[in-house]
Amino acid sequence: MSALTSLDGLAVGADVGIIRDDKTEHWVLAEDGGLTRNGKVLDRWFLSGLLANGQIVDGNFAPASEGDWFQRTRRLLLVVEVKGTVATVATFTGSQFIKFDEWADLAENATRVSAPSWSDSDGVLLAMTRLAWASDQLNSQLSQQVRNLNRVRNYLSLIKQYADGAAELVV
Amino acid sequence: MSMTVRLGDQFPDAVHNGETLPLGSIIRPVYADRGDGFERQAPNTWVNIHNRSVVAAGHQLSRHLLLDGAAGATEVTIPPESVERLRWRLRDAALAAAERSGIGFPAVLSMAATFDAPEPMLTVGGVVSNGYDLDHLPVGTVVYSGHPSEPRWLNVWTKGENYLEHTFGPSPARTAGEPVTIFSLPVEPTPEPPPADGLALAKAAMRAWRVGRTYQRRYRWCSVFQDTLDSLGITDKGLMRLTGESPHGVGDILDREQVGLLPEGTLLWWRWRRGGGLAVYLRTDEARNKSRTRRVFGFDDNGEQSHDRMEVLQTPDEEMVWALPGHQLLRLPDGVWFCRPGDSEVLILGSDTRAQVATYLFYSIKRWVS
Repeated sequence: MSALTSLDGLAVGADVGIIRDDKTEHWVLAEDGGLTRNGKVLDRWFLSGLLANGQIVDGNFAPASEGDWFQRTRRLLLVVEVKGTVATVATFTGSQFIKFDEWADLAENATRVSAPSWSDSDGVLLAMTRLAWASDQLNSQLSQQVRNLNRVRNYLSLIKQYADGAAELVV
Repeated sequence: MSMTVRLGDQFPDAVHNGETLPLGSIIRPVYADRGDGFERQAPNTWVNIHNRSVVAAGHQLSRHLLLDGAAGATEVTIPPESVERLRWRLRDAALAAAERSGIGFPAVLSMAATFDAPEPMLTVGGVVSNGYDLDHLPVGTVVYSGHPSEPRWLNVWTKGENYLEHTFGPSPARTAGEPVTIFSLPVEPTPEPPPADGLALAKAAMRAWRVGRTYQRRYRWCSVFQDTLDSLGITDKGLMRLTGESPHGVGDILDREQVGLLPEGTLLWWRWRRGGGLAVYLRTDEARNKSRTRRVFGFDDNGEQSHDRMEVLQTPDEEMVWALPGHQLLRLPDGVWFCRPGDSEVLILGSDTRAQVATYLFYSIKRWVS
């Protein structure tokens, strides 16, 4: 990820990260030059100071390979814990990650997935956004909290398809 | 009419007028130690000059503030405004003060409507500091606090169906009375009438003062009411200077100079804090003392024609409001109109009615001797 001094030249729909307090909020470049995130709209007028301070980064997470995708984003959807039949979904940053096939197996075995707050989890939202691009049918569900196992399983399944190359990423 | 503020003068209504100051200007609370104050670091962004923390709480800017520095200038000019904008500033300040003080909005809204500010003035770039009008913004309105040049303090909210929804920034919840600036409106902004002259503005402020005083008494509001007017630079002496009229009326306790500006025919009274003596004074242009009053009645008083602190009983426009215990009522002259407690029947003080007065009850005095 590199700091941006301008959003000019970025394609509409590009990932843009706003860094604050060592966290990155992921936004999407809108047609009018502003940013959108979870239905929120941030006009480009508000961005000048952020750009000047190096707080807006290129959020291009398009993977060259599965491993590269992991390495470049360093903010991934993971099933990090399985206690009995409960899997907790969380995000990891840095080098703490496990491979797709490992958590996919965990997900397959889980009967209930606990995601305390999907909307607070940047990594989950990022993954959901990716999935939406890969699958139009999920678009309408992106802004909703994920509340049931079947839906989570669908997401996990699609992520696995994406990781396996079965779903095409459209950016 | 524009207004010039020199260094050391009060800078009125920093919430709404703050943007007229150059960056680097310093304002400080009148009662603060020398050295305390706020610096205008960026548009819509004030920081404490000691710890450089951002000033977000509305009450810090809603005080009697003095201009302590103007980035090298010795004076600043506040541009002229319309009567409607003045009324809107008064409405916003009153509702924000109510929000900070835990006073319900309905009475304040009624007061604002009575002084002809039933609706907010919504303009792009305009400031809103009260929660009521923010909660009733058109859906889709975008407001912000701070400025993009200081992104660490920049907050952006968008009006949703029910309330302001936080869009961006470090502080999801707006603090009570925190001023925000309108970035965009999904509707046409409120039309801005042309600026008014000083007399028209003073008369509008005078009306708001008088209406507000009535509401303050009715709802027993605390001194926040006076403090709010004071922070806006609206003072009785200032209004009197501009209009030649006094904003004061029944129930106000005034000094001699203030009394001297009341209309002729006003009745006032004074009493010892301890002891039974009292005196009644009439404002008359024939009097040549500072308060232009004559003592028309009194007992056990000092016999002077005026006093330091006199309370207004009645003006040519306002009926008498006066209550006295029976033992003092009995010492008033015959011909005074009064009512028994809890009774609207008017009695006239005389030999027959004096016998009905109980010394320990409070009586409402309705009219002085004709």
